[in-house]
Amino acid sequence: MVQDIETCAKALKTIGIRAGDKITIAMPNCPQAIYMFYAVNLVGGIANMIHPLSAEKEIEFYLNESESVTAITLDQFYHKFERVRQNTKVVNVIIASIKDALSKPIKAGYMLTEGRKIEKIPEDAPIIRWNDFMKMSKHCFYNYKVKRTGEDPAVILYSGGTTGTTKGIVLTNRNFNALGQQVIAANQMFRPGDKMLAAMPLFHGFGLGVCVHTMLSQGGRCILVPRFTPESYSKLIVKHRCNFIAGVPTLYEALLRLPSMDGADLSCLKGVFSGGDSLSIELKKKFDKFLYDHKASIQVREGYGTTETVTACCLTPVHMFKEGSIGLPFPNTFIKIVAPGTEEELPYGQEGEILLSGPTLMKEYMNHPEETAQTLRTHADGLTWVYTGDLGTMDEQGFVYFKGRAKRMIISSGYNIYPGQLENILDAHEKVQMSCIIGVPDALKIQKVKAFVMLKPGIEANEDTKAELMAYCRKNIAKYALPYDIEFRAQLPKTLVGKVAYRILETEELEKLSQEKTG
Amino acid sequence: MSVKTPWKDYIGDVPFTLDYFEGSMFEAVEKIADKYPNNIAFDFMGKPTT
Repeated sequence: MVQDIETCAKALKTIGIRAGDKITIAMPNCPQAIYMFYAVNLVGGIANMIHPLSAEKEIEFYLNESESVTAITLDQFYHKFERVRQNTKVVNVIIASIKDALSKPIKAGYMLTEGRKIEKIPEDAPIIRWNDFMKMSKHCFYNYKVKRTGEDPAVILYSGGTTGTTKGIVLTNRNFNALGQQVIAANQMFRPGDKMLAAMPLFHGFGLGVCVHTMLSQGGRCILVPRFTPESYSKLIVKHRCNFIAGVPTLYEALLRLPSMDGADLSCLKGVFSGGDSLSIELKKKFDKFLYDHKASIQVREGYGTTETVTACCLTPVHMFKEGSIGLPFPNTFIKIVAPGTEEELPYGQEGEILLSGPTLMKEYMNHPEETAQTLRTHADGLTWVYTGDLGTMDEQGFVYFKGRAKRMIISSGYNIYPGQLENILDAHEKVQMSCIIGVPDALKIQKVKAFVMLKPGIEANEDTKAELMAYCRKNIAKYALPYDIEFRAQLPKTLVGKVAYRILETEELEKLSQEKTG
Repeated sequence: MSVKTPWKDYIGDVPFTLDYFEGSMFEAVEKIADKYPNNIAFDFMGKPTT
């Protein structure tokens, strides 16, 4: 692996990447993504990690926001990059293919199934194919390694923060290296060679920070999974006899209901982590019983964190569990509960805003100094704290309890979706007067996205208009955040200050759902 | 004013503080790869890489 990373780094140097340059990596979990990620780090660049399923306009935004000079993606996403490339500062696009990373027999099977579905890339397309790119390394002999320190920025991950505007979170080498050490310190049963199912994506703090970097920097072994379903996820745990797995509550809920897990032996498991969303007490009980019934000697441990601290900051300890708690802070990490937005620390047991501090604290929000100043504040205790916008309490033993989000956000299958962002996109359509996005309860995803739209005068609220808006959404909104339905309204309810009263729409929708159930 | 750490007595075998590595992310990976040169770093669709 290190040899391939060095080859990739030499190739990056050959195409002119310099220290501080940003390279967009829009890849699922696969070997080329790992090589590129660490090669960018080795040449002193900054890896801009984005979702490969992002919509075209989102890709354009990420490329421009980060001022990326190079991007790497998979062959099946080439066309999206090609359509926005001319609006960016990108100099070259590297195209990798899953098939190049497969062993021969698997490759043959892949080409017969998945591979043939991929839209052909023209022979003369302005791209560098992965294999050609790696060969460029032979033109670089010296000086491709750039010395970086813990303080230097290494990675950009995206999040809506508390305001909902998509921002790049600038994270340093120290942030990630410290996280790796903390995770291992909090899991003393870890031994080099232990396997972790790396199904969480590389453009997510947990996927990159825990599943990949913690393992690779501490001697663990990652089972890279580019795409998964609850079925394939469960099969991989059993097949590879994974020691550590992580997931969002909806995934664990789905595993409970899989007939393929009947009789499965999970005695290999040393750590099962839940994050990304609140794990209900009921689901924890059910999943712990499921683990016990499948010969596992451990229980699911819930953690909590934000992308502003890479990912998890606290975790339920091995030896002690308290109902509803998200655990205790990692080494050198501090948590306190304050009256929301203030420096006033609250007594144990009282609900307030959760603040975090420690070695994984981000450097800044890229290009957003005001939001950085609002989110990162240095207190009289001498520490810099991130204001999470999440509500919680702490008990007298330091156990932290998550109580809800102060910010407006929909969580669908573990993805954070910001209604404000989607409304801005819909409102920009020529036929839309105003829109409102709400989360609707869903058995599998926990919440799904629904759009309410008030059309401009004279525009007909018919199926054609709906189809046009849906097509527009598909172009501008990532798949996981797409509304499942658009409902037209002549008027949208308003609050006293004239904002759209989304809570009224939520209540109406809930009533409609319960009527449908009883009716 | 110092920060409160009520969890200090309840963390079991987890250390309260650690000494952190001050190099780059690549260096952290390279260091462990030098220590365990034959360990498998990752598997991808059935193919292991050391």
